[in-house]
Amino acid sequence: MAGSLSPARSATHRPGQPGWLRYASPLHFHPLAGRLAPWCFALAAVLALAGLAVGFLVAPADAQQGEVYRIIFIHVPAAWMSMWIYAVMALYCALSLVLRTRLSAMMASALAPTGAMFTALALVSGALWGQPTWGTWWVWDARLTSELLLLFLYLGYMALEAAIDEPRRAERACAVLGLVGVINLPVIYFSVRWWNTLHQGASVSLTAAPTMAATMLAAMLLMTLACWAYAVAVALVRVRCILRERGGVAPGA
Amino acid sequence: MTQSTILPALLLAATLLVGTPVLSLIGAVGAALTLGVRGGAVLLCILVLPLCIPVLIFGASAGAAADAGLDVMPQFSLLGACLALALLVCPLATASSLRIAME
Repeated sequence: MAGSLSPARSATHRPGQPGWLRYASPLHFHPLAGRLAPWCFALAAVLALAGLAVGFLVAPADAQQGEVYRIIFIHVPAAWMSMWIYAVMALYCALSLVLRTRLSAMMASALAPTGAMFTALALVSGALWGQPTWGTWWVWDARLTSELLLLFLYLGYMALEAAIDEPRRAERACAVLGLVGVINLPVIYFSVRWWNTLHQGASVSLTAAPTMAATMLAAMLLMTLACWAYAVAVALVRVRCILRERGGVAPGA
Repeated sequence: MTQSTILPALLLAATLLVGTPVLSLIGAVGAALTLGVRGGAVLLCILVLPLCIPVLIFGASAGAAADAGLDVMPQFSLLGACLALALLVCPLATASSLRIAME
């Protein structure tokens, strides 16, 4: 069978390896992912509740935008996650090409749908915010267009994976595509700085003092962490499915 | 033809000269990835589209800048950067995709 892993080899734990490397083997990773996923889901729920509570009950209305601005509590985390997940995905692609570890390729394909979901969420929530604020759902602005391109990158990745029947070939071809697509990431990130666009520049940066109220920032960061935990949880659940599907782990494990 | 029409035409030709190789290089990666895949033609479009659009934007904005009487060097530099990057990355990616397809 083309898709089967060799459990005998991948399960061996060589004495010289650091202990955590054993989780690079699907046999050890499958139960670990199963144990971690519920905790990540719980963490995501708690953080999301806290973030929404701070965002809707504590944070003040914006001086210029009124209540409309509150969509940033989902919009900004979704946009951050859409780029971050692609970066992580590309890292896993690189690992799978260089080290030929199948688990990293599976992690990349487990992350892709979540990344696409966050990208779509960022676009939709941005459109919902743009209608009352800019007076239009969509403009062909640099940031919006490049975010749309990111969505197409995710969709292309998933389409390529679905189109190739043989899992091993699909994994390697997708890894190449994922690595080529990472070139677009800096273009998206810096698009608000490189071009004069309608989309505002970043309000939050690591190096400068925040330009928003502390409670707004706290709510946004809580929501970002919630999205992060959610992405990890969903990826872990999905990678377990992929592991079973591609014959890495027995169904009862 | 007057000076004012020749210059933009030359400029357009120059942007095409720099931009077209980039598009071909990206297309080569897409074609190699979809080699022998069912529905390859449709797939090729969605794979190549997001990578091509930045190049098209830089090329078009060079024309727009020339039209408005602005300096076109920034757009040209960006197009040249695209070409340099594509020349570096795309042949490698095409080669490894072909290798994967041949396995």
